[in-house]
Parts: sequence; structure tokens; C-alpha cells
Amino acid sequence: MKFCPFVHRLKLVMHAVGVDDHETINCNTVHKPEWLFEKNPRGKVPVIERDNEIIYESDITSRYINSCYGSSKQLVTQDQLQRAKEEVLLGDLDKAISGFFVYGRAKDDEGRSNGTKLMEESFKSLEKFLCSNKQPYIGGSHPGISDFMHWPFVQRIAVRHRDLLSQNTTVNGYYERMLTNESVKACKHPDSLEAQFWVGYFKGAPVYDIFAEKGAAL
Amino acid sequence: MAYMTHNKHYKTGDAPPPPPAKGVLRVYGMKFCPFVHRLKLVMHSVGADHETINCNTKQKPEWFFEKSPRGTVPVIEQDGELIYESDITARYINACYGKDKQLVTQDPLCLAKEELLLGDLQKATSGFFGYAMAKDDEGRKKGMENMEESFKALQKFLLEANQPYIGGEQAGFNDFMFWPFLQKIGAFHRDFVRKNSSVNGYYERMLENESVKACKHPDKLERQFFGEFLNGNPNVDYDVQ
Repeated sequence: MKFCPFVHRLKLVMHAVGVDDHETINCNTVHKPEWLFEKNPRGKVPVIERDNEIIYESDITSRYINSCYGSSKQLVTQDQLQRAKEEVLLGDLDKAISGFFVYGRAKDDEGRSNGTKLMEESFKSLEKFLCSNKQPYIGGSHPGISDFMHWPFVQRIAVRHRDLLSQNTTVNGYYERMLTNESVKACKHPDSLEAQFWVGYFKGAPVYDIFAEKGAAL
Repeated sequence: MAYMTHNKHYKTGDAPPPPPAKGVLRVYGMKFCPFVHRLKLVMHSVGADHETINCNTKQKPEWFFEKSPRGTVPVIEQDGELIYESDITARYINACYGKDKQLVTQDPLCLAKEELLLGDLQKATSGFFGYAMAKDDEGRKKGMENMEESFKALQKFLLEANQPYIGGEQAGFNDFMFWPFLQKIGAFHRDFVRKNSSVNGYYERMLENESVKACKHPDKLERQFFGEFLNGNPNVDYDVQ
């Protein structure tokens, strides 16, 4: 689905390891085609299909693509302790995901406040990690798979909650560095398009087939 | 070395133990926790010597949250470094100590399929705990249904892959990720396991694995501990032997 942050994760990794040669079939995720469940019993995107083999889940498919195509790219941190710390961080960064959706779906100020609090907590975790590592990216001196796993949610938070992002200088700096990454640029929708989609989504009526004048890799 | 027989459990109000000596790998755990059990199986399998500090998970010692902000076990501590979560710590141990063992499937597609299976097998966990904590027959029925669905997923995987273990010809990393939950289901619902011949065969094969044997509690002890734990009894005897 063109605006799905979980599909976005996979697309970032695919671009980063140079898998240009793939086709995309997008699905309406509110009115799912019945056949999607034959591809993925869980009914979710992304799904990879090739020669009748099917796998799904954003993290599993991303790791698969990286294993098959990314050996020269070193997207996965090689130092084992550092890699483990990145994985622990990604668990803390889940709050960015829940915060974004809690805020968007909130019916009142209390709900929005809860969403904001979750997003803020995720920023604190990211700030702590980047400052103690003294590295520009989660993956080290250049973006790695963990950066691409988190980026789709930072991108969306930036569209709908730019002030919240600006308030944390470390995370804001990270956001602006990531915007210069070629894979991020290749997969990015214009903020106005992203905003348009999410307004519709959170009203319960997403419009999927909107597009910008210049197409993106999604 | 002993893997699962450390009976003392630090609890609220207890002073912390001294830090581990330089270079020593320490695991913070709980004797009957299936998530700690995952890590212990991998540690045994790759021969990672370590010391163990067990914690009462209903009355957690205050200092434990400095080790694990999430307050969950297992946690690994070594030379001031701390990491946690059963899968993350188990992968770390395997990466550091298990190069000769090839516990993790090398083929990327097969590995991806194992990881998908583990997602389906989470129903074994929710089913087991759902059943045990259910207040009525309907709750127990739902628990059974979840366990049954997980068994169907395992059966389908093993039959399609045509191999004795999730990891292939030998028990691998993902067998050890699942085993603690199957062991508990076997201790409490043995007849239920028998009903699925694929899963029963898998269960009996795993019981012969050296790491499974080294880390296994007698079924009676599992039942004794969890009988109280899952009833919400705050005075659970963690040091039951």
C-alpha cells in the first residue's frame, strides 16, 4: 500500500541494496481484496512473492532482502553487542508507532496527550542512544537497517507533528540527516501528499489513489 | 555447570548482588520463566559459561529496573554492558559463541519461513497462559483453541519442510525459541500434545536433545510452581525444589 509505513521499511531496504528490479501490487488495506489472504493469512502488507514462495512481515522481508542482495552494503551492524543494543532500541522506538496512531485516532485531548507522550518517550530513547554512541545514525556512521526500520515513522511524525520533532534537537538533527539519504529521498512522498492521506485515514476514509506530480519509488 | 537450578530469587527490599567479575557473563533470570529458558537453551547449546542471579518477578527487587528498564527477564550483564529480551540476548550469545554450531539457518528463505512460523507459534504462549488464567470454561476453551492453532501451524511447517526440527535436521535456534512453551504445554496438557501426532513426535524428539535435558525441570515441579503463580498468589514459592 502506497502509504503504509511497514511497506516503506521494506522499500527503503530494497532501494539501499539496489533491488530496483521488482514489481509492486498495491492493495486497499481497508477494503482488502479477498485474494490477499491467500498470499498472507494475516491479511497484511508487505508481502513478497517470487516463484510461488511467499513471505511477509516488514522486518522478516527486509532481513531476507538484505541477506540476498545486501552483502556488499553492510546494512546490518557487525559488532554483536552494538547490534543487540540497536535491537533493544527498536523495541523502545515502538512507542513512536503507537504514539502516532494513538494521537491520530484520539477522540479527545486526553487521547492526543497520551499519543504525544508516547512519541516524546520514543524521542528520548533515540536521543539517549545517539548521544551515548556519538554516531550520526542508529547504524553508526551511515544509515543501516535499523535506521530504515524506524524512518517511516519519523517521516510521518514530522509531517503531522513537526513542532514535536523540532523540540528535540538530537532527533531533529537525525531527521534532517536522514532526509539527505538517497534511499529516503527515493521513497519519500511530498509532505503535503502524506498529510492528505493521513487526514483521510484517521477519519476512517483513506484515499489511496492520490499521487504527486512527480512519482516516487512507492 | 548448572543452568536452571538456582533457587534463590532476589525480591523487593533485597540488596543487590555485587557486580559480576571482569569478563564474567551474568544472566538475570527467574527459574521457571520460559523466556529465560530460551536463552539458557541457546547458552547450553553453544557452551556459554555464565553465572545466574534469579529474581522474584512478582515482587521485583528495586535495583532490577536499573538493569532492565522494562523490568523483564532475561537480562545479560557483562563488564558493565547490559542487554535484554529473550530473542535479542539469545541471538547475541549465538553470534558470540556459536560460530561452530550453525544454530541459525543459513538459507535466507528458510530462515524467513522459520521466523514467520515463530509468529504463528505465539498462539501456543497466549493459549497456555490464557487457559491457565481463565476464570471459566469459555476462557479455557479459547486457550485450547489457541494452542491447537499453534500445533496446526507447527505440523504444517514440519510436514512441508519434511524435516524433523524447525531448524532442519537438528534442533536449531528457533526450536529453542519455541521449546519452553511446548515444554510447559507438555507438562500441563500431555494428552492434548499426544492428539497431534506430528507435534507429539517433535515433542518426543526434542526431549532427547542434550540442551533440552540440561535445562528441563521435572513436569511435577513445573506444575507445582505454575499452579500458584498463575492463580495470582502473591506468596508463590519461587524457591520450590
